[in-house]
Amino acid sequence: MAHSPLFTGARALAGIAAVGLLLTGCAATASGSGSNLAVSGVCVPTEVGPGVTDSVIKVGTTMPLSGSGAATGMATRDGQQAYYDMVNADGGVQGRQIELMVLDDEYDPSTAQSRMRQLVEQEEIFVVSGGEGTPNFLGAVPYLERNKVPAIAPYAPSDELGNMKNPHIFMAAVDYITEFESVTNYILQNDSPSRVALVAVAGNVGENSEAGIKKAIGDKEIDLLYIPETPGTTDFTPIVTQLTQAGAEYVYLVLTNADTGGLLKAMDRVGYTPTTVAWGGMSDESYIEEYGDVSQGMLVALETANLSTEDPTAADFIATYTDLTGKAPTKFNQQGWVQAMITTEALKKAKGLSRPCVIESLESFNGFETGIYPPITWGADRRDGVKSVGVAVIEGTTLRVLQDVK
Amino acid sequence: MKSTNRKERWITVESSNPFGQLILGGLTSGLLYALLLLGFMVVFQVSKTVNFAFGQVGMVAAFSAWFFWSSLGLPLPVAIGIGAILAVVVNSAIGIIVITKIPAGRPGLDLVVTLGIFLFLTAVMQLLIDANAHAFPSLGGDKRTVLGGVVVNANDVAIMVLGVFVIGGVYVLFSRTTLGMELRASAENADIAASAGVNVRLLRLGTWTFAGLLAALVAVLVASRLSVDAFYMTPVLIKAFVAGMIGGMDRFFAPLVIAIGIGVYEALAIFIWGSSAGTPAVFLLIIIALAVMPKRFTAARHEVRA
Repeated sequence: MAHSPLFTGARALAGIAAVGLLLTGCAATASGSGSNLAVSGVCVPTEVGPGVTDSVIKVGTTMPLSGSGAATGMATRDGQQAYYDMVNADGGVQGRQIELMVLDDEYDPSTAQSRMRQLVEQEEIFVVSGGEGTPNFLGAVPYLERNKVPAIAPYAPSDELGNMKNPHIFMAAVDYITEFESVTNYILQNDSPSRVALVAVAGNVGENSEAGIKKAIGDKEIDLLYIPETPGTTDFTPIVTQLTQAGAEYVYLVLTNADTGGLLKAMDRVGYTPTTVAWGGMSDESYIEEYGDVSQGMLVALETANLSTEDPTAADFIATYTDLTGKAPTKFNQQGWVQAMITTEALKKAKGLSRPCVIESLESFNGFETGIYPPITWGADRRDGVKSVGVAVIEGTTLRVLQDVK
Repeated sequence: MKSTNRKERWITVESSNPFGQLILGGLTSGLLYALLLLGFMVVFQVSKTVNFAFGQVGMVAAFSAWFFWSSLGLPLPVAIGIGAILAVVVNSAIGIIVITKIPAGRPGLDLVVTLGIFLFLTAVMQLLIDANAHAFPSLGGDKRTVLGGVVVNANDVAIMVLGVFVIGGVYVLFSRTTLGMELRASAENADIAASAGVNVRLLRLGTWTFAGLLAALVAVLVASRLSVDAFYMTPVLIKAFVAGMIGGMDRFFAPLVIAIGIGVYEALAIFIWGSSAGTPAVFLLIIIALAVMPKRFTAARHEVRA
């Protein structure tokens, strides 16, 4: 049977588009439950929650383990697993081994929700241990809130989290409002630009980043141009043209590694050399190794302690991690490690192994030192454990810290 | 931090013709879409096969070239050469080993099979190399000059020169040579062509080989402008395919000109409406094209071609 090229083309195009959407990830953002209810439940030390047996405490989370976000998800998972291996080798927590289960959410909100449901209802995890990625994790938040499952220190910067709208989510990473307010404050203390621009992933990420910069700018006479970007852009020339027309002296980049590299190359091709400023992900050694040559002088937010310093805590972490895994940690290994550390601490401090007791334990964190994040404090009405970031500059193949993670 | 003195600012912008810069960027992107589409069309016209995995064949070339260069330390031209050979082998294997096994009278099976190959190649490259994005050498992106206020770099020039020569060369090959006549004959009716002494099998192998080489070339050029990972060719293939769909896969210049036009149109759409509007604007173009184009333009051509 013969088909017209148009018909054949239409079928093929639909298929390619579907695969493209599947593989490049869905940028949809889910909103939180909007609930302002206080966290319910009373800690009864003799009660035992789901996923807790005499020998095991099951914890879990979802992360992107395939698709364009897989690298950071896998690294975060590996970091968590390394920490739990160490804890289990030392006898575990409250006489039990910690069993970590991480499912692939493909960086997709709806997949994240169904995988989280699977973890809670079929695998019966006790608590959510960390997580990685904002849109995907936000997809699971309404389900976690409805089922009152505590989620401990996911890396999902968003103003939807870290407040009492979603009281079961305990955030240790700052949201992008705080991150870019801090970084912009640093810039304004040292310089006085009149025009800045932000190129950021469209949606919650970009809007939060813009809000943070605006907050720091306040009533100063500084023009801010915000250009939302969609992952998978194949020609960055129009964005660069907008930036050059605006005469932006500082360009903030809140994009994927690939798109950051693509935009920087496009800027380089036309000889446009503003100071670039990037989110914390760009402080990862793997980014500097790949894109260091087009990122010289880039200011980056430091969400975690800089691994390239001679700080004894960082050195100790690197040595321990390298001993355990046989390879040096990356920033996202570090994220996973600290997520597992905070979860372990919450389980250790809990008066009993029920969810209300873990929440009570988390609410008692007061300046908890991880050596990686700034000291973490939560409370009965506080879910943002950390409120500041550091600033560093990319020089050569390393980061030079300009303002420590406080 | 630098001084706050405005005169000492280190910001420089060599381009003084933003519109020209925008058009140049769109033209180079459009030429890359056109070159990818050319490989796709050549296979379609000769084998009547839609190869979903075509972009990923190019990805195999560029991603493995990056690996051989970056991780194994091979000289870049050698690494790119090995990557191109891999692409040729993969594409030829798709055409000769897989596609020829599809029984006649099973329309759509080629789509399903090449979709499976698409996913397979993605997974294999992630497994063999990794899931990260990597910086590919800019291939002349840092060598630039200013013409009429527009910054032109060696990478742009290379794409334009290659675009003109490859498209022109393929046109001459198809329309002015005996080989081209044999290709068209075998495309129209392989049995009759074979009975006339045309080695159809060899011609088809040659077509898949050439297309693999073209996919490798485009993928390396795209990687030099963006980054390379297991997914980066998908958006490029989508846009190339949109042009093929509007222009007609069985024509020559119309779809290629439309591909170049899509590059410029997309650049303008992003500039005016923002990055999020780029892909929707391209799909909007299909709807408009289908709505306003005469039916005779979008329908299949039935004239005897050889």
